[in-house]
Amino acid sequence: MAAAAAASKHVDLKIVFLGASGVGKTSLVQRYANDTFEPTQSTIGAAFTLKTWHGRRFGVWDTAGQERYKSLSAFYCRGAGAAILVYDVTKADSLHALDAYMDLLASAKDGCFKVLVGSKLDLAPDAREVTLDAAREYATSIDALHIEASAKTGDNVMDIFNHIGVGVFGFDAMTASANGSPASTPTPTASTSTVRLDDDSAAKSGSDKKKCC
Amino acid sequence: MSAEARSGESASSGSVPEYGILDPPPSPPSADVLRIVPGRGLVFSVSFVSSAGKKRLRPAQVVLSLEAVTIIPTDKKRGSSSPAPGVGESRHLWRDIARYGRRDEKSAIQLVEARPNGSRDSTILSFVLPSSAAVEWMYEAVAFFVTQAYVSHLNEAVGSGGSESGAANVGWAGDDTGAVAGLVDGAAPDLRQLVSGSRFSVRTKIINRFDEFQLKLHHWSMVQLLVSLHEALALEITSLRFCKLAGPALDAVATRLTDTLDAHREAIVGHPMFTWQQPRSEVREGLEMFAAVVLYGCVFRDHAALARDKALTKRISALQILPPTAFGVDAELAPALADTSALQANDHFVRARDKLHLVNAERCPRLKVVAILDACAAVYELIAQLSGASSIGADTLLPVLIYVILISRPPLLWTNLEYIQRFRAAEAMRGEEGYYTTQVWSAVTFLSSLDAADVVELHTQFLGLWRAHRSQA
Repeated sequence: MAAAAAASKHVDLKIVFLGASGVGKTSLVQRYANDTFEPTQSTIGAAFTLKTWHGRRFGVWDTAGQERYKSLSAFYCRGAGAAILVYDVTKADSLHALDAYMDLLASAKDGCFKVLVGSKLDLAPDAREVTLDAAREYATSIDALHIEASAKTGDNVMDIFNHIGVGVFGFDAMTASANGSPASTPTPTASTSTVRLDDDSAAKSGSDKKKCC
Repeated sequence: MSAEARSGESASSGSVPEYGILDPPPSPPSADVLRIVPGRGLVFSVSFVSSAGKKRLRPAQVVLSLEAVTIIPTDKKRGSSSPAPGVGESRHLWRDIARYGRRDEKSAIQLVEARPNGSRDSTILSFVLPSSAAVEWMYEAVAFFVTQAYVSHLNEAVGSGGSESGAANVGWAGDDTGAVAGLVDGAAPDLRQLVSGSRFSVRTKIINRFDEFQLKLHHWSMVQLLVSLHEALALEITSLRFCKLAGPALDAVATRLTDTLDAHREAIVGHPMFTWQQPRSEVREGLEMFAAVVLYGCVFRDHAALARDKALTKRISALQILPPTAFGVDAELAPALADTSALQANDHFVRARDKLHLVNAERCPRLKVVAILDACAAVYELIAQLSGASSIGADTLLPVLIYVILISRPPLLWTNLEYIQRFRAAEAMRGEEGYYTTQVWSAVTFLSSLDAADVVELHTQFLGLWRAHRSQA
């Protein structure tokens, strides 16, 4: 049905991926898009992914990470409800390279939910350069949640988005997904700040994620 | 009262049938074209067939503005064979309309003739509308008579992406746009052929759904709503008359328009015609397209953006000689893209180029965005074909998109992007449409922001590559 297809393009939450080129942003997006747990809606290309999470639609924006395009990232951040900052656990300088994105994120929504993601976790046993403590400290300094993930093995990739979903929409959204109607609660920002405080203190959900290392 | 005498003449000459007050009104018009003139309101050009069904009356233009409905007979240059300047005929005709549906003397409509500047040929007929009731049913009568014409015109206007036909329909919009577009010396595709092509599945769907919306919107039971919508849009047109608009002023227009359309949307959604079938977003899309078709000529030209477009066109010409690597294209993709003559023959590139040109030819913000989406889809296919990669992220897409824009030289990108940004609904811009519009936006920003030092550096890089190449050879 054509009308239904048009309506399904509506997006409840805009998530923007930031990070230098080569840290594995695109692979993470791919891994997430190809995961079959929640349905992916067809889009014209891989740079933009539309996916349903418990009845909410996530629009995932990939950005070009090359140095010369860095200033352009501000356009992508406009109105973003969540940002995923990606660094490479096997490259020491990739973590603090994210500093450049922090002021760009100012153009995102107030209370933009930030997640710091260390990619290439599968290579960590041999080639880890960014320690877990350093990354956690950095995450605290930028007021973000921290997760390490691997696009190759798929470890923790879905968790990134589960955390974002819970952080933005609250636990109710996950439990009340049975009816699956996004129209009933279309305001995502209301609960953002309170839930994020919980996540930062790593009270319940954060702690079990970090067991992997 | 010479005008009275003139009309008497033309009536007595037998060329025009006189209608009695009890005669049936003329049959619905076989109307051709509608134009919207900024500052004058909505102009309907309608030709009528008399009730006898034999005599085709001279076409007239109807100006629908807030205070009065004015009928301007078309000038006699067109129908050069008959010397009579159609005033009399239109007057009879419009007297009929004035009688049509009249219930009481209070709402009687006076027919007034005026001759601006003492001109003999251009007599203007106006209806003076003494009461609000009269205004109301006058609108109703006009709406009744021009509905068919209007719907078909709008469909045509939405459907005709071609720059030529666009300029013909909205005469004033073509002037500057054409002049600036003329700066682009690249190979412009035949847009008419493009539009009639068979690859427009999404576009065709959108237009078909808009047709459906139009038909419903012009149903007799919607007259009140339609009138208020037209009033709001006509007011906008009137206030924008002769204005040289730039950024902030147009932003204000967009905000006002959003409010207007939201208000009407609520009323439309509540209407029985729409509640049982159309989802809310459909009504919003329909109204957005409707307003875009009506207002396009007034609000498209952002003079600040046009100036930036001129600069961009020059810059793009200057950057033509640089290799793809200068814009960040991967080393493995660069050789295939560097050969521009081969690129111009590549199907995917040609499609991307045509779609990028189509962005300027479309009028509705949504259709412009659809053209952008199609262009980006073609760029994906181009990359997949050249590199064999299956998953293409933004790291790969953006540089190639920049290069494709550089080579295909689409006209007025800044102006179009500003227009989309202002008049496309904000909720749509959070999704896929917004993403690819942002991609094009950042590509254009990148091309515009290369300052002189960058360009010199790029040229130096290029010279270095070239020398290395020569020394190898």
